[in-house]
Amino acid sequence: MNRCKRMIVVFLLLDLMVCTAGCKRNDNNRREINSIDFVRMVAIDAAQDEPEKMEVTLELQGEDGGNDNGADSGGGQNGEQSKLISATGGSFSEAFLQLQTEHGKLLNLAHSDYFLIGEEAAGRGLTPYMDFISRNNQIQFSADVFIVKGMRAAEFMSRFGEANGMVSSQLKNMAEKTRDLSYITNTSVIQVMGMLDNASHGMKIPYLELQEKGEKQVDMEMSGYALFRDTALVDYADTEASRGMNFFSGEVYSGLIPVRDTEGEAVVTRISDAKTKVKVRYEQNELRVQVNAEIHTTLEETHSKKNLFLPEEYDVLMSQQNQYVKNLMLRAVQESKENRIDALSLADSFRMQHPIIWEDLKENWTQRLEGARFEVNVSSRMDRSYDYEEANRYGQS
Amino acid sequence: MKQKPKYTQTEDVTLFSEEQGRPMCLHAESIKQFFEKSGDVLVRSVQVGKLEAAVFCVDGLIDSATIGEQIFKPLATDEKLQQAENETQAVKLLLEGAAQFPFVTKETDVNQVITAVLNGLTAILFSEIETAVLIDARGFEKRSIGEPTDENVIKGAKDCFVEVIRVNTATIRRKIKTPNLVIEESVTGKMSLTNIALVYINGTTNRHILKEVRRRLQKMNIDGIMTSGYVEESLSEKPFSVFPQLLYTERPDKFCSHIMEGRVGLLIDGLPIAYILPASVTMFMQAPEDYSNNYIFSSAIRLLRYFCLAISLLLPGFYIAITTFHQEMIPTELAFSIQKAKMNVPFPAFVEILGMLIAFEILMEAGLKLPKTIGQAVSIVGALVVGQAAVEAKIISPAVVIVIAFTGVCGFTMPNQDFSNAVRLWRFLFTLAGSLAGLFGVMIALIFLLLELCDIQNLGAPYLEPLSDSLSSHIKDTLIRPPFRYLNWRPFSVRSVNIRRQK
Repeated sequence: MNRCKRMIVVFLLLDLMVCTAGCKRNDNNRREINSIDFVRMVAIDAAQDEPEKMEVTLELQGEDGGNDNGADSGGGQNGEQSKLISATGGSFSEAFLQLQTEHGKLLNLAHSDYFLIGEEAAGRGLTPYMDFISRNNQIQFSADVFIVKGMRAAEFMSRFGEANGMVSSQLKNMAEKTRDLSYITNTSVIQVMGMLDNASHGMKIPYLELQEKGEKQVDMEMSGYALFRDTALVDYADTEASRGMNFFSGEVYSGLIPVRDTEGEAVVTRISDAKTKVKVRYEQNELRVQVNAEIHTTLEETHSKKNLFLPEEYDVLMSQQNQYVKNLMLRAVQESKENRIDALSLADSFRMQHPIIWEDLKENWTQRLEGARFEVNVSSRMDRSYDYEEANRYGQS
Repeated sequence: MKQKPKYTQTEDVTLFSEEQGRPMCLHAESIKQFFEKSGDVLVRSVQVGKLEAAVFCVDGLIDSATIGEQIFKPLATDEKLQQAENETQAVKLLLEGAAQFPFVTKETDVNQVITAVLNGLTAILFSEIETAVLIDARGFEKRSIGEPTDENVIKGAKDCFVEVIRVNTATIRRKIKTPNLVIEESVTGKMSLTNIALVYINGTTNRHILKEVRRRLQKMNIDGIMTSGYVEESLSEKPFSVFPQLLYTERPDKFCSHIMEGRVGLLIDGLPIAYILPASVTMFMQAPEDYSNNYIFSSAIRLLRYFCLAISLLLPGFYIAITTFHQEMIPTELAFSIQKAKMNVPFPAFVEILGMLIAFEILMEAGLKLPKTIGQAVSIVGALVVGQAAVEAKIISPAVVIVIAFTGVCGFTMPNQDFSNAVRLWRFLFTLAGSLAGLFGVMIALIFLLLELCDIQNLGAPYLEPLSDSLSSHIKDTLIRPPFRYLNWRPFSVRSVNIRRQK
């Protein structure tokens, strides 16, 4: 009898678990893996002929990647075939549903690692595109978002895919190196969602550019950040400004700094650690921003014949290194002021440090930022990488 | 000579049914008549001086040469015996050394005499006074002590239990020489009259546990103990559970270490294994070699064993869940690899996994039933030839073969076969649950498993102890094997009277 009671309790608990887990539909998402086509990459554009609509292009894995609805983008150099399918609709979900209906297999967005947004679409504002992406339960929030500079995202995928194979694979190789390129930091879906949530926050998303390299030879390049005001694309920051923005946000993990010794010979240092402290104050009706950056580098390469770690040489190098970083940061400030956007994430710093004053300033934050006074201090030190003396015969005439 | 009580008989055991009839008195003629149809039972009359006696024994259970030399010869030639005036005097002389054996006892109960003789003793019957002198002159063919076959030894004693209970008790005595070691014997089985020995250490083992084990042994009302299942089911607290509640071992060193921890041991005549109780889940995950090797290495191996347990139990269900419900959980490259491997396979993942699991079980069963040499051939044909052909014919995907092979190999790391069998059965349940509701189903099955394990109490000790314990000191020797210097206390689950093991 006790056993019977226990079983009843267990089954009631089980019922409760099922009910509270939201298992209401009969369709329980059961799909065999071979009946699915995984989408590797999504391109979003404004429809060419109907500006109020959007065009969604999906890159599928080649071979069995799709049936007859799209164009095969060829094998390219790396041999990985891809298949592009596209549809137009009033909304992302409408276009996606059309693709789903026309495609032979079930489309799954769970493995779309990248979302490309065309320049025209980005210029209209990101909100309509990001809404579907943020609500869809298949899409990974860790997927990266890129803006395509100077062309439509679908065209970028098509042209690059024809020459080089799967765009997503190539992009993956490039995106993995961004840690070494201090001017780019990948921006994920969840980060874009965060930026959209905060109206005062200036949005910056890395952009991709197609580089023509002779007949039918194209390559892609990541050069910096696309800058947004009120969710709409306004400008592209160049490499220097983008790098300076990364110093502000403390997202520099590596990168080279070129300097010269007292005789003008080239010396290259590599950033091994960079810490930035940003203090934003509101005094006498103006914003004052104090930035203290600490840079730690290692000697990467030297053409100098001098002992760079003697005080007189070392101080010269460090002074140049400090000035170099300072210039980058000031360049970022200039870019930010010119475009009247908070691309330096100062709003966040200020909100954290002065939550009460923030409430008064948040409405006119970007205007106040234009008149803000910046004080940038950089201190750095360099470590020797190896103790070889013979390589450059320094100390010898 | 100091007489040693040899046999105690449980109340439930009756030698003869009413239909069979029984000799009413301890008389040579009536016993001869009773056993007249049994060719191996010998009742031979001998003349002891002027007295009549009979030697009563079972051929095959006695050492004939020894009996001839040390029983028949003294009976016929010993001067004192020849001069005995009456049977009482003859019995007295035999007990005082005329019979040249260490274990000589006097018995007047006909049931006890017959039981003793059927157990291999030799009885010298004196019919007038209805008395028998029981002499232990057993000698029969038995397997010699060799290496354990199921529990491999690398760094440890290379002996194992055999089918003869007396050899096993001697092996234990050789390892535990404390006078507190008690080997309490009884007879169970209405027909088999099997000797059972309860082994424990007085002053260490909890008497309530002992009392309960004795009660359960006495409660056993069966014809005979031919296989281990009789005992296991009778002594288990929850006989309907698939999880073993008695730990068996064929290694005396493992048995003795558990006895010294305060547990109760059980030896059964005819079985080359010994039982240890109460048993908990963690005991089934421990191997004797854990205590022979370096503690860091042993801890790593033990953790690996727990990992293998999880894999063996969950992997098939988990595979189905992630490939049919949660494809987003699979790393991208792996998802494509699995997808590519599954192209053109006509069956859903559940059917593939279930089919392979059943095929695996069939191969296991076939390998066990066949002679060892052919058993290997079955594995080769089954796993390699048929498996390879099935993959090439696109009947199953290679990923499923890998999953099942890995699951099977992980299952083999379990030190205890009973526990491994339980895991094998539960694996099917997890597979079904994963197929029905994905990871949600797997989690529900996991909850059911935990409920089942929590529900088992073994002689007052929770089955999950010490994992269910809140005191960290009790959990020491579970997931890892700590150095011996930290094992100062006996396991809490045995509720030992003498809780401190060392200082």
